[in-house]
Amino acid sequence: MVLTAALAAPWWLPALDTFAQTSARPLDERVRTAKIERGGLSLDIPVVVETGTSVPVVLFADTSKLKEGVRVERLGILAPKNPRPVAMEIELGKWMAQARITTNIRLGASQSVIGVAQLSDGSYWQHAINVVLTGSACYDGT
Amino acid sequence: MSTQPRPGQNARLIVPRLVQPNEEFAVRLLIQHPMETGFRRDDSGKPIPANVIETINMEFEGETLFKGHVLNALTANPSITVMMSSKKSGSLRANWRDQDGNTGSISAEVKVVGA
Amino acid sequence: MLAHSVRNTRVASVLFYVLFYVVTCPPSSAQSPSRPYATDQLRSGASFMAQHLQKQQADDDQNPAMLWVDSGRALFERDCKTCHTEARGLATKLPRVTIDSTTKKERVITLESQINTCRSTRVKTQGANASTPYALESEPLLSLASYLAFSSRGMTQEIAANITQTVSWQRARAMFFAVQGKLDFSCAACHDKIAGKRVRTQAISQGHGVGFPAYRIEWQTVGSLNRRLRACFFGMEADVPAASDPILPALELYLAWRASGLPIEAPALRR
Repeated sequence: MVLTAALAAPWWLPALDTFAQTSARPLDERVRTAKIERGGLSLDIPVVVETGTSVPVVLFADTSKLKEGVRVERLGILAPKNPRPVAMEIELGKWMAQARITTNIRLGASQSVIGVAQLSDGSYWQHAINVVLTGSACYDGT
Repeated sequence: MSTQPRPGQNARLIVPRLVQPNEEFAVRLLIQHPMETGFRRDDSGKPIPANVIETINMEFEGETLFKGHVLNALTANPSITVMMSSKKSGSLRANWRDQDGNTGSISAEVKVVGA
Repeated sequence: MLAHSVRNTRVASVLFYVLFYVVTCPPSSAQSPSRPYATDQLRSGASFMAQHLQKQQADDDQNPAMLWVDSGRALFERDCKTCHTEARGLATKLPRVTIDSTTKKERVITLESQINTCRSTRVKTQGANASTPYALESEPLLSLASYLAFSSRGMTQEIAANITQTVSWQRARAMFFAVQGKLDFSCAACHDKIAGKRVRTQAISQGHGVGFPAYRIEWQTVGSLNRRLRACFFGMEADVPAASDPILPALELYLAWRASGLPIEAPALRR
């Protein structure tokens, strides 16, 4: 009973999150039903990090692996164990030379970080990498 | 507190000095902003209200380079780097707004050889 | 019999304390004290960081501290140009020891305290904040300090030859070697003896301050060496001195002496 309820509405469902509603349907709700395919997506993130306050990420969708006439519309990063699981979502404009985004994100816990590319034909590319947060040598209360 | 500037006022937009036509180059946007998550507490135990940058729009000659819709987990003082290319010179402009309504913008000129 | 064993215990405990003192006391400062690392063995904190942070540190375009440098430059142009035509080299003169004219006691002047001295004695700023010193760790103070340190990048700090004769240096050295806190550490136990070894996944650095003020990933902002040192005490689970405690500038002075020869790389990126 509890399990079914939990499965039906995972706690990280960003529908509960006021932020994620800035785009009509939250990204992870959209990809939840999508067929998972890696396609040309690569996610570059360190597998062991000391502090979750800044983790470098490069999300890259190789457009040469796209079908004719299809383009990458959005790139997104999901961090399911963050309090707000949709870490970021960015719409690509016509001036972008590559479907590539480099940034630093916060991670609240060790987790599988998921990179998503939304294609113009309605399909998705996804790739996940497990990141372990180890904690720093000395705690800092200043 | 008056000595602390409003978040999101200070930024850098970094592009190469000169590029070749259609050469791919990196555009890096760096914004000084605490990106308060709302999950932290101050020294007296009071929760610090959330204030993150909600949207970032970057345009080249009035057309979109990228639009950031959801930027929840960007770090404090976030940086975003993307690759662009152009045949002609033009101006690049970034605008952003945070939850408190603070806005900021910065522009930079892209100079393409011979155009 | 009883007296005998009591005496034995006493001998043992005296022996223990003598041994303890020999093991833990700082090397006598009567002879010219030697630095823990020879100049060619000095390695800044950057080289002990994870690879992705080293990459970020090496590229100023990826270092958020440059935003503080920008605002510091603007403040310098506005407030400091009357006296200082050139920002380069100013940060190399600090920290230094001075004798207070009224109390006749030693005082260590740090980069931050010098900025505030300038501000309250020389800078003529209009408005409500005129001539008031900046609060410690406030945005403008960190910005100016970052800009000044940035302007002296690659240079080394000037250390007076008689620095080891000063009371401040000797107090700081005693503090550096004092075993304290719940974990029974001293600064020297890690940063002099086992630099390069790991605590959890982090390599212990040699403990040089040349990157400060620095953008620390953990703070998510720029902070001074004063704050970093307080964080050290916190990490050792020892009493954390107040930001205004004179031991902190003295330790900054000691660290500068310990790192002399290592170029300034502030504002650096640190974990």
